[in-house]
Amino acid sequence: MVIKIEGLDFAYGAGKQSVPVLKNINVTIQKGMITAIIGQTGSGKSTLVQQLNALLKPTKGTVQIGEHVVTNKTKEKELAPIRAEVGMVFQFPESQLFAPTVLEDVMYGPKNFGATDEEAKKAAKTALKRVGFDATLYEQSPFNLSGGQMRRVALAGVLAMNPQTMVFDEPAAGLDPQGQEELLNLLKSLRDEGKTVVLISHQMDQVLALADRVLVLKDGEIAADEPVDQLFSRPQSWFAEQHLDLPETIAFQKQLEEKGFVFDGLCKTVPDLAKAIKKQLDPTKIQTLGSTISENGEANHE
Amino acid sequence: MNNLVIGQFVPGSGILYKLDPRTKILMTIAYVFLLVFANSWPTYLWSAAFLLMALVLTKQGLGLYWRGIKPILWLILFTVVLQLLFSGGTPVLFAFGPVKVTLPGLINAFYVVVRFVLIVLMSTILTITTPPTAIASAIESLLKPLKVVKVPVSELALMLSIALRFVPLLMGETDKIMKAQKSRGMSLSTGSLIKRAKAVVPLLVPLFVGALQRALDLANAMEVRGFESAEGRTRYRELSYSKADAWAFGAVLVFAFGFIALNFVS
Repeated sequence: MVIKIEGLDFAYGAGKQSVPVLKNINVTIQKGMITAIIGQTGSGKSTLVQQLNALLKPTKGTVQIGEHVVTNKTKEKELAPIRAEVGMVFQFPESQLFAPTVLEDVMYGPKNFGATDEEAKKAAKTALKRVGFDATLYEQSPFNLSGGQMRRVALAGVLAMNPQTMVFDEPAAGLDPQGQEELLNLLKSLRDEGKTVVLISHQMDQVLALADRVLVLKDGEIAADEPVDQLFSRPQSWFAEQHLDLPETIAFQKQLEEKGFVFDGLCKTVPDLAKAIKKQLDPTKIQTLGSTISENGEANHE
Repeated sequence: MNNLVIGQFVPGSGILYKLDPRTKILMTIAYVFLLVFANSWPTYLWSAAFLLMALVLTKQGLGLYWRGIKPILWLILFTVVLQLLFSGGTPVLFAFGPVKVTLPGLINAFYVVVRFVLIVLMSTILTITTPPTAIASAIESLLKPLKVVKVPVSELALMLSIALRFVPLLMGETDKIMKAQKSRGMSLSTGSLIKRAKAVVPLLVPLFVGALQRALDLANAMEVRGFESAEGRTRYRELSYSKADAWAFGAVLVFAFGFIALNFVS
C-alpha cells in the first residue's frame, strides 16, 4: 500500500487564530520500506504522521492512503477503515492502556475492526509473543507492569490489528538500551515481511541503522526527501542549518575527509569505518594503530 | 474541544481587562443575583443594556461571544420546550391533545432564554477578560474573611489554582488518548446509546490514571522543594484596586438602583 500526499497544507484551528503547521507537502511513502521522518521539535513531524491514518484531515490538498482519498471534506465515517490499514504507535503509547487485563487490552483493536473473540485472542497472543511479552502475565492488570513491559503491551495492541503500514512516533523514547535494540529489530522484521514502516526519531544513529528513506522537515516544509545514504552524504553545514546532528560515525568520517582521507561511500557502522581507515593508513604506522583498533572496531588494550 | 469559549481567557486591551479581578467577580455575582429577580421586560431591557455596555468595553468581536453561546444552544432549547409545555395558565394558544401552549408559557419561555443568555454572556465576559490565575487569587482574597472561622482559605486557593493549571494539560492528554484509541478503532459516534457510553471507557480510564499519576508527581515535586503550607505565600502579581474599579462599582450601583426601581414600577 502506497501513501501519497499531494499539495498538503495543514493548520490547527480556523480563521484568524489558525496556526499553519505544514506547508505544501508532496511526498510518497513507499511500500515495504522504513521511512524515517526527522526534524527539530515543532517542525511538524507528529502533525504529518497523523495525516497518514487520517487522525487529522488536510486543510488543503489530498492524502491518498491505499484506495482511500482523504481531503478536507471527507466524512468521519469514511475514515474508520483507514485506521485498520495504518496502525499508529504514539509517543509513550503506554498511556493508552485501559483494560483490566493485558490480553483484553491487546484484543481491543482487532475487536473494533470486526474480529471475533477467538480471532482477537489469537491475534493478541501472536502480537504479545512478537514483542517478547512474558506469557505468564497475560491476565495481569497492565497498570501493575513496569514501564518497559507496558510499552510492549501498547505496541502489541497496534501490532495485533495487523495493519499494512505502521507509524511509530519516537517509539524508543524512555526505553533502556536493550529495549531499544529489541524495538529496532522489531521494526526491521516488520519491513522484511513487506510492511511499510514510518518512524519519527531524534536519534540519528537509529535512523542511519534502520531507515531506507528519510524525510527531513523544517518549519513545516520538506527540506529533504531521499535515500538514507544520499542524505548523510550532504555536507555537515547542511545538517547544522537544519539543527540536526550527524550520526557519530558519519560525523567522524566527515572530519577525516577534511583531513584528506578518501572513502568510497558511507561507513554506517564502527567496524566499517575502522576497516576503511586502516586501508588508508601508512603501512609503517599500521602496526601501532592496528593494535588499538581491531577488526571489530573495539578498543584493544593488548 | 478548543472551540469552547466558556472558561477560556482571550487576551485583549479593553477597559475590562484593566479592572481588578475581584471587581469583576463581584460585578458578575451581583449581576447574576439581581437578574434572578427580574420580572418584566423593562428590567430585562435594562439588564441587557448593562451587558451590552460590558461587551463593548471588552473590545472583543461579537463572533467570540456567539461561539460562547453556541455549545449551550441545545440546553437553552430544552428549557424553552419545558417552559412552553408545562407552564399552564390562560389563554391557551395551541393545544395538541393534553399538551397546551399558553401565553404565559410563551412569555416565560422568552424570559428564561433572555435570562440564560445574559447570565452566560456575563460569566463569559468575566473569564474572557480574566486569566484563570487571576481569578484564583481574587477568590482567595475575597474569601479571606472566612479565615476567622478557620476555613483553610490559602489551601483552597492553592488547590483551585493547581486545578486550573491542570485543565489545559488534561485537554492535551484527552486529545492524545482519543487519537490513540481512534487509531485502534474506537468510535464514539456510532451504535446504541449503551454502546456509546461503553466506548468512553478506553478514554476515561487512561485519563484518570494519568491525572492521578500527575497529581502524585506534582505532590512529590512540591515536597522535595520544601512545600509545607500554603499559608503566607508571596505572589508575583499583587492585587490592587484602581480608579477604574471605583468607576466599575459606580456603574454596578447605578445598574442595581435602576433595576430595583424598574422592578418596583411593574
